[in-house]
Amino acid sequence: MSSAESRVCIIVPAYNEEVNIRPVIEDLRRCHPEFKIVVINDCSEDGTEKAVRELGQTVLNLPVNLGIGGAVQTGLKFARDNGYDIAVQFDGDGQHRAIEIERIITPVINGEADVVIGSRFLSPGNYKGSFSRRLGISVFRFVNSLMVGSRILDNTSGFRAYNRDAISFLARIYPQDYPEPEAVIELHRNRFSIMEVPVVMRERTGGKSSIGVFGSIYYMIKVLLGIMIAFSRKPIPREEPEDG
Amino acid sequence: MGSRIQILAITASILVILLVIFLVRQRKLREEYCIIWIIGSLSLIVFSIWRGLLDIIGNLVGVYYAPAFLLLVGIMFGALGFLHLMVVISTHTDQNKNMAQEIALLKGKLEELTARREPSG
Repeated sequence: MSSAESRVCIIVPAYNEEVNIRPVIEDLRRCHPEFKIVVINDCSEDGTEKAVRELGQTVLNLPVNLGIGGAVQTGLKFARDNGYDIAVQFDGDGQHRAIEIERIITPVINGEADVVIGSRFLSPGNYKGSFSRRLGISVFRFVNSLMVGSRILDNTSGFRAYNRDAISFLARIYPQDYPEPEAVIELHRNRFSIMEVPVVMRERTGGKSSIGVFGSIYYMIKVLLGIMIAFSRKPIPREEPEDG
Repeated sequence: MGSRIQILAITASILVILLVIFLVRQRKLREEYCIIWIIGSLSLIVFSIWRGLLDIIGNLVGVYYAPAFLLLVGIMFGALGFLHLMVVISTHTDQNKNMAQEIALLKGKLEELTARREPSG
């Protein structure tokens, strides 16, 4: 299977991203005009939907705000229902670069991994986050690496590629509030192979990060608990592959 | 015999039962939840009428001050009820999420179909 033959769906979750969404879509279209772009509008109160429509892309409007997990899962359900071979999760805030998509889908296309995470930490020293953010990232790196049995450096990265099996699994089960680190464990527990490839991310171009100062403490506790519980769960039997 | 507190407890319990039945009749409370309230209120009435029962149970479990046992049971009952509600809310949140996702997907599909039928407009 080559990149030209695979049908790829790019899932872009967006909540109040009317400023950022336009350059994000333009970037995606420039690099990959052949891929399907689907924006999940998580009940935005601004002109996100209008901006996406003006660019002629598919937008799925959630009637209530579900948060990042619920939005991404909507995109995964879309990819599953429409039979896409590969789904790419791509943030609507402009921090991911479309040019790196090739890099994260190649191992999926070649069958080297079910899931590929675009990692900020495999290439040296390009990430500058706040102290609490870096602390959180280190804690998740330690805990998740311990549980997965191999090093997963960037557990909070939302730049990921999935194959069909991973799409249909995550369409059924996807963590909700701060889903990325927990999803790594769920995937690992269900025997999906996970690979990291180095990517460079941009600093945020507009808006604010979804996690504030007080939120980060809650975030850490909640996610750590979620990871432990996810680890203790039994693997879920896979769905029979559907042909046709 | 009939001390004031006994009458108060019995009256309160009966009022709770009536309120619960009223809520079910108004379809504001499901039958499955009303049963637990009626059982709770009825047992309070039993304890209010037969005051010795509390002492008997207290002796049985080895509690020196029997009413404290009643209080303990009451608190545990409340805590379990609270936990149960959280389970119900979690289920609803999950169902709500699935429905919201389904609605978004269906709306998207509908738009696509409409656009295909009316290519001009």
